[in-house]
Amino acid sequence: MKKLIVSIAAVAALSSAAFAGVNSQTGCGLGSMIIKDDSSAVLLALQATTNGTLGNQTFGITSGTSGCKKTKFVMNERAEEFVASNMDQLAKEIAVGHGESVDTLAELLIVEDKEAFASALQSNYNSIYTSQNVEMADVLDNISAI
Amino acid sequence: MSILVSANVDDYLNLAKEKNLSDSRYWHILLHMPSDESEIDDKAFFLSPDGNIDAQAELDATIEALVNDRVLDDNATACKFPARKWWLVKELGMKNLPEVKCKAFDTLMKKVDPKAASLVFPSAYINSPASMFGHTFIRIDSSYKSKMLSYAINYAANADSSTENGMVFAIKGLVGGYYGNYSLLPYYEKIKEYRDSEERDIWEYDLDLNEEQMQQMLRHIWEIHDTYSWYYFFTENCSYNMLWLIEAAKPTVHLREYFNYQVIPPETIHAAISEGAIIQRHYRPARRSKLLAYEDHLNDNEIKKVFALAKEEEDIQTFLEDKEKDTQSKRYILEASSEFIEYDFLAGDISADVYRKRLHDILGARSSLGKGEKIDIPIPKDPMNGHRALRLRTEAGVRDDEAIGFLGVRPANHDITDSDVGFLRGTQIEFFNFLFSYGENDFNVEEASVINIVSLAPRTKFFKPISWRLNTGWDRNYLSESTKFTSNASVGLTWENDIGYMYLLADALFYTDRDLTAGIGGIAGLVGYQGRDFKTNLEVTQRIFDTGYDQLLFSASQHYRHAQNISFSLSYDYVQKFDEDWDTVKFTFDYFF
Repeated sequence: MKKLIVSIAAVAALSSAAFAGVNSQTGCGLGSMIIKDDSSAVLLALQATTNGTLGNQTFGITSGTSGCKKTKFVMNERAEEFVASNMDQLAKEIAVGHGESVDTLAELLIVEDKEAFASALQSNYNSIYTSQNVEMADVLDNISAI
Repeated sequence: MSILVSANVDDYLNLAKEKNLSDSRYWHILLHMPSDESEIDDKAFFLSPDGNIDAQAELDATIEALVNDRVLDDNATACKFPARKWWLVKELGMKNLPEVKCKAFDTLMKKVDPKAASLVFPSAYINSPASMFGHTFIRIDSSYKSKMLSYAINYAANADSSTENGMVFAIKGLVGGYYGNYSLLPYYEKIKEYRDSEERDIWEYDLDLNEEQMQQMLRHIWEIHDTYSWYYFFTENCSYNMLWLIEAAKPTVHLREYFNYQVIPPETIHAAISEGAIIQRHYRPARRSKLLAYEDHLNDNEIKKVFALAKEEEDIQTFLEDKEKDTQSKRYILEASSEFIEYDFLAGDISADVYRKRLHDILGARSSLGKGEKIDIPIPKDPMNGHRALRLRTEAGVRDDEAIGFLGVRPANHDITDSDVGFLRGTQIEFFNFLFSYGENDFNVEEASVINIVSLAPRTKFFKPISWRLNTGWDRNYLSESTKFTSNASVGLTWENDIGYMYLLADALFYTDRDLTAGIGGIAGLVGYQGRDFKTNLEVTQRIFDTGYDQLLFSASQHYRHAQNISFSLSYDYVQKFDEDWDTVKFTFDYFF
């Protein structure tokens, strides 16, 4: 009975709490972040995303880079997956000269001196992210050329 | 050969009976069976036809299948149920089991490389009080130092909210109309989802689990990952299912027992803390929190530059060459600007092409300015230092020269007069808040709100949100002697500074008093803080009704947080009713649990 009462109490909340629909826009270049589906401003204000109801999530340990251009010099599956999925964050952190994504990339590429790595990436930003249309493979290969 | 094998089976079956393994807590954990029936609804999870209701039959069937496995690849019982196998081998000293090759599972184990784990809680996001109920999932850490490379195991209802309407969705969720599924994703995908897209701060609570325990958790995850169960929003939900995983890893922690009738996600972390299962906490700020930190370092003119650069209204080269500005200010402006470009893109205000061009230009400029100072993002109070969900309230006071007592109960969750340590300021969500009063020979229901949500989101230099309030239920604050069913909706603006916040709202409401009565009004409120434990709430409301009457309401309260779950307050309420006034002065004691 207790269970029922509490459940009813929350019906109202849930009906307003239309859980956010999230479209995963994955890609190989910039702009691969998750776009929020804000079709309704009112619902947006009320939504709970309590349980992140994503029908498209998988038990994914497979590579997320199958649709991407292949790297020429860097053969490191984890690094490729990571860069493909974090192109934007990585660009920001390289430009600023520090950050968790840059440190993560250093770890994946087995770079000892993370500080020096971050500085080198920053001063070479324009030769890593050579244009607005660069892809993961370009970024990794360009980094390996520094 | 076959005689030898079957003799083996009987030995193990007898030993298992002798040790009473089918009644053991751990076997029930592996079957997700709180008492007599498993919560897993997928028949494929059981080897015995009655396995979901008969722990003994399932145990026997598992032992037999492990010994007699004829299939030796991924479809072998040993490969499908590695956690059961590991435990039974340990308990029964099983030897010479068929040699199986579990390619899929071994690949998973190698890639995930489990060493440690954290419970992860994305906290409420601005203008969405319902999100404070939140979500939790487990992050499985590997040998990598970077937590971004960890994996997140997540349980969710498999529903497509874009094709179902909200009400259908809610009802189906309550009665179990959706399947729940597990997903395993790199943690950086979850960071992108919560920190960047939903603008929610992420709290990570490291669990006291070692490598051996984590391997067993992953084995168990493998057993259940492909099964389905009906998903119940309030009981068998995302957070609740994480408790099974933790107990499968470390059966000496008893987490499920904290929950009888509902599982509010953050409450599972409270339970883990009570069990001593949390060893450390970490904060990962949302993009919004980062931008608010930039605000503190930028003056009005610099804020304008942030927007102008983000919208390509100012030439970047001219900006870089500006000799009036120091380099550090330029760095901050460009950094904030790059975040805003992303913000605009996520909001759908600019196309992907425009986004890429703007971001690329800004970041190129930023990289030319060297390293600079890291922006310092203040760490808010840990949500786990906040009060618990269920509130019991006792009050004593005087109303119109008569002594009056009050008793209240509220199952969930928080209102704007409660201490907001650990909560997002100005955010309220209440379900079924009951308050009863007892005066001289007079018992009354003062309030029985069904739902009462408030979102007072402060306007900042960067963010200009609208504040709002929704309330429906029964209360006495209207032009009537008795308690009436009412609904009201308000909308307005909120501003904040170092000492507190203030809000102005326009209000529309109706209630039934024989006829339907409607009204409009204005609300002004002020909330001030004196350190962490004291706060003052003031609110004045003026209403005009379609019956021609008007009404003034005023409330003032001083709140003191004595401990995490104990508060006291002193309040004064004034309610005008036709020619009469009600004055209530009362002292309140609140206990949360």
